[in-house]
Formats: sequence, structure tokens, C-alpha cells
Amino acid sequence: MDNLNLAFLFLGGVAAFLSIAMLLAKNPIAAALSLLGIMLCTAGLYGMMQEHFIAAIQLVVYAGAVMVLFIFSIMLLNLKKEERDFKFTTPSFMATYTAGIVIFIGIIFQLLVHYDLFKSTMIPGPFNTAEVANLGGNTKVLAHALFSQYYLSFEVISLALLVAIIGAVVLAKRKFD
Amino acid sequence: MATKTVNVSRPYTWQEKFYLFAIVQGLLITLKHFINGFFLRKHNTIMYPEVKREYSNRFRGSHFISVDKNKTENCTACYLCQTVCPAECITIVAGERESSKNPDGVKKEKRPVRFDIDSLRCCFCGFCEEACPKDAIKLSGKYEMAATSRSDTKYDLIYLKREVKGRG
Amino acid sequence: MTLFDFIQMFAKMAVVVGLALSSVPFLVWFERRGSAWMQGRVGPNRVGPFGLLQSVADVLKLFLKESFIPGHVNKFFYLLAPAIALAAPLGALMVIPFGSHAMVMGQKVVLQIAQIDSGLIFLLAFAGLEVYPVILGGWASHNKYTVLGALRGSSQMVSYEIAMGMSILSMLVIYGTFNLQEMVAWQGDSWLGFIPTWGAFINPIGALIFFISIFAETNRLPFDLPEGDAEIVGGYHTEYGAMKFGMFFLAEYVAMVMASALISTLYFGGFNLLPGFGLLVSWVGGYTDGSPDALQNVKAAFEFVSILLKVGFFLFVFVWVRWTLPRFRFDQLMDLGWKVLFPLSFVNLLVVIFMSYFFVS
Repeated sequence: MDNLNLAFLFLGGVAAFLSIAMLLAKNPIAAALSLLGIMLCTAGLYGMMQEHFIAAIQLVVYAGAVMVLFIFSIMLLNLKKEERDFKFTTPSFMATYTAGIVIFIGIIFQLLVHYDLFKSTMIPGPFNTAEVANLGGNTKVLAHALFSQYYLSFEVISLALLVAIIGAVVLAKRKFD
Repeated sequence: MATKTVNVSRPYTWQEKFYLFAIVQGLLITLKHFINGFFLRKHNTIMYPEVKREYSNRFRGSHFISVDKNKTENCTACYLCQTVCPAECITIVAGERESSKNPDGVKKEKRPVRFDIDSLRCCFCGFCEEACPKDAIKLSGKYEMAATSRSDTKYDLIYLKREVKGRG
Repeated sequence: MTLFDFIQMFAKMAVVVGLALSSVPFLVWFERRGSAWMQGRVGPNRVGPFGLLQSVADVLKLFLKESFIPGHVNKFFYLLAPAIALAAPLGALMVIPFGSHAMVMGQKVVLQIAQIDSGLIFLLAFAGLEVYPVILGGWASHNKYTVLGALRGSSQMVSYEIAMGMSILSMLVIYGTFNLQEMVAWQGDSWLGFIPTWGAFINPIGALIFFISIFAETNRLPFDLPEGDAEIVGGYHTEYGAMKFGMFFLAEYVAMVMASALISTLYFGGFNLLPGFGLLVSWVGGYTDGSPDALQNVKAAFEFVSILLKVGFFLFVFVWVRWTLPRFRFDQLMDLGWKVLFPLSFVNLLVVIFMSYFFVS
């Protein structure tokens, strides 16, 4: 087992641990910070795959912007009541819990059947580290892929984001008018 | 005649609104001071315990009682200073003097057995100095009167009879 | 990874981290004496020569103080905040190139810790993490003042990140790369032989906006509202004492070093030799054995000195501005960020895009 695998196990393990911690945390800020930790671990995983650009973007967008807004709004809202009233033994919680476990096992089962994870090796995509470096670094390759091959999907996604922003503004405006 | 109030509204010019010109001006001023301090060593402050600020010789600092050649205090315990003191910080207990003579041969019959000044109550107005007929109590130019205990701030006769340089 | 790679990586980290951390006592000393000089005072001059050991004494005091944790705080996050505060700017420093390359034992050593293709984004990512200590420290302390400081700090930093990002984007359009080494190489030319092609001369408005937002990002006056000692005691670190406060204090200055390194790399030619240093390089190079490796090493050394001088200058400006300008009011700060700098940087970005589209390509 080489260093990369060790790092993968470490980051993946921390991410998995933090996911559970996020679900079980009573304190909303603690949950949000666990999520932040997961983001950081994911960024580390990307970085391990030599995808520095994606790793950095992960940090900028999720850790630097989205999570800050999460924590900011949690701090502004007073969530003391939810924290006090939250119980692990309510029927709705138990139902959600069971459903989640069933779905999780289903996904794992499907993955095992579909990809035959333990038997065959994974088929790598068209890019590997050497080839990406050859083409001028992963930022360049990503930009080329994004703005030529996947141009339409990129524009459609940005349109969807625009719709979401306008929707949020409209909703907020109706409330304050 | 009623006062007439005029509100003069002065709109900001665009230079003022831009704000950066004013910032640069301010930066230049501080740079000037920085250069003065760093290269020319010009400071407006002094290195206090080593260098001391000169005060006017009318400055009223800590008290002392003048003495004659025999180290006998000039005070005759007449209570004038105690009476005039607005802060009531002087306490005198009078007594008879045994056999001490002035250099000019006049016998002082009355003397202060105790002469206490509470320097924390004193307001350094100098009335005691003016009231004294014998020019006994005086205020010196000394302004360092800090003490490490409260009892040190009460000046007794022995302390007051110390030698004081300068104003006297 | 060979042993040589490992050792050179370790040496570079030791140099950068060591310099960043050991510059802090000097910076604190300079902040105090500089402010004294600007205000016509003498400043601390008792401990050591010129009072230089004053900050050593201060640090010693911080270390020896009782490490007290107030009973009402959330312990885990309370202790986590100062650690992040110091880690984020140090992490950001690792992509700053501090020289082209040196030749050690016939092998090329690139003077940059992490040679990441998208180094700038990486740097921004770590700079973005600097919000967390403010939020965490403020929230975990369970104190009104700290929460106020945290709210102010986080909103301020998030707001100014936009203007900062926009001005960086305009530089990206000009340089056409995320790679900081390539950016510095781009700025290596000169016009008419003596005016260097620094980013600040090409994009002065972008440089100005970036410079202003950097002050907000590092919580320095005139934007030190998260601390705001006149209004909210100590801001987000009110409840911190001893070395935990020392960590915040250290982090502020390391962030300053990082910001100065960033602005000198992006806008002021990075490690490119300062005007006139070329002569110095050839003069010193005359004393070596004249091999290309030795000459390259001399050049790398002067490049290192160049970026150090640039960073030092910007550190001086940080102190200089701090003791000149008063603190902004919070609404003024937000007005400046959202109504002035954000539109201005956006317009500047558009102008730069058009210019580079029509004139360069």
C-alpha cells in the first residue's frame, strides 16, 4: 500500500466520520462545521488526484462561500429551541433513519452488482495525469472541455442558477413588501 | 434679540467624495512625522525618568517646613495654616519649646509637637504658605509624590523638615 | 520522491514558514515604534537594542501566562479557532514563488513550495478560510461582543472577497494563466528598457481595488471592525487570553505577510529583479567561478531579496495606513464594498476584457 492509498484512506475515513458526526450533531453550528470538514476532505481527495483546480474551486466555492453563508445564517437565527426539542426517539426520526439505511444498502448493492467493484478493475477515463500535463495542465484541459464539448450543458446550468437567484429575489421581495 | 440660526449646507466636491486624495494627504503627513522620528530623532515626548520636564518656579509641589541654622523649625504652631486650609489637611498639635533659641536670640516658646499633612487631601492651593507669618510652611517644586503605601502619603514633621532645593 | 526532493521541499518550507513567523516579532516592534514615530513619540526602546527585544518579552509573557479557558465557552471550537487562524495564511503562503530557480548540486530547485498549476485559485481558497477563525472564535466564546465582532468580520470579509476576486479576474485575463510562476514571468519585461511591465502599471484600478480589499480581508485599519476595540472591547477574540490570543495576534501578522506577498506577486512583478538589481547581479556574479549554475544561484538570491524588499514595503504600507486613517463605520464599510468597489471592479474587468480582446489578440 503506497502513500496515496494511505492518504485516500485517511481523507475518506475522516470524511465518513464527519458525515456521521454531521448527522448526529445536536448543535447546528457543529453540524455545519462537520460539513465544512467533509468539503475540505473532498478537496484533499481531488488534490490527491492531481486535480488541483477542482480542489481549489471546491475550497473557494464550498468552504469559502457556501459554508460561510450557512454558518452566518445559523448564527443569525436562534436555533436554541430546535436544539433542545430534538430527540432521537421520535417516530418520524426513526422512520427517516430506517429509510436512509435501506436506501444506502440499496445503493451499495446496486454498485456492487453493476460495476462488479471487487472483481474487475475500473476503466479509466480519457485523461490520465501524464496526458493532462502534456495538454498544458488540468486547468486548461478543464476549460477546453467546459467551453467546447460541454458548452451547452454549462450554459443550461448557469441559466438554472440564474432562475434560482431570480426566484430567491422574488420570494424575498414578496415577504418584505 | 433672538438668535438667528443659519444652516449652511456645503456639498462635497468630487475631490472630497473621491476620498483618496485626502488619504494620500494624510499619508504624506504621517510619513513626514515618521521620517522626523526615524531619521532626525525628533520627538515631542521626553524619556521621563532620565529626563525631567522643567516646571515654572511658581509651581506648587510637595510641602516642607523651613528651618533655621540649628535645624529648628520656624513654625510656632500658630494654627493659621490649619485654619485657612480649605481641604483641612493640616493637623497641628502645639507644645512648649524647652530651650531653643533663634540665631538672633529670640526665644520661640511655642512649637508644633506634631505637624501632619495629609497629602492626599491637599489641593496645593498655597493658602497655608500665604497665611504663615513665619514663612515656615512652604510648597516646593517637587512633583513626584507617588508612594507605595498610604501611610507614606501622610507627611510628618520629620519629613517636612527635610532639605529642599530650589524654590523656598 | 527522492531524498533530494524531500530535503529541498523541506528546506523551502522551513525558509518560507520560518521567515513568515519570525518576521512577526519584528513587525510588532515596527508597528509600535513606527506608530510612535508617526505620532511624535519615542516608542518601546528599553528592551534590547532599539527595543527590538520588546516583542520577544511580550511573547515570553504570553507563553508563561496561565492558559485560562472561560467556563461558558464551547471548548472544542474555542480552541480550534486560533489554530485555523494561523494555518490558513501559512497554507496560502506555500504557492507564492519567491525566486525563479536555484541550481543545487546540478539539480534544478524551483523556489516555490507547491508548484500547482492553478496556484492563484489555491491561494484564494486558503485566503477564504481566514473567515472561519473569526466566526468560530466569536461564536464559541458565547459573548455579545465576540458575536458582534464575528458577524461584522464575516460579512466584511465575504463582501470584500467579491471586489478582490473581480480585480484578480482582470489580472487573469491579462496574464492568461493561473500559474503564479508564469504570471511573474509575464511581468519580467520592460517598456523602453526601464519601466517594468508590472501588473499595477497595466491595470492600476484593479491594483487599487485589490489593495483596498486586502486591508478588509486582513482586518487591518481602516477596516478593523471585527476587532473594533473602541466599540466592542476586542471583537471576536475578546474572550481569548495567553497564547490563544497570541495565535490570533500572530495570525493577523502572518496574514499581512501573505497579503503583501500576494500583492507583490500579482501586481508588482513578484520576484522579478527590482530596477537596478541587474547590475548588482552581474557585479556579484563576477566574483563566482562563472559557471551558469553559480550565476543562476546569484540571480535567484537577488530575486529572493527583491521579493523580500517588495513584501517589506507593503508591510510598511500596512502599518503606515493603520496609523493614518481612522476606522470606518460599518455602514460606510458596506457602502464602500458593495456600492463602490464591486461595480468599479466589475466595470474594470469588462474594460480589461475588451482591451485585451481588441488590442492584444
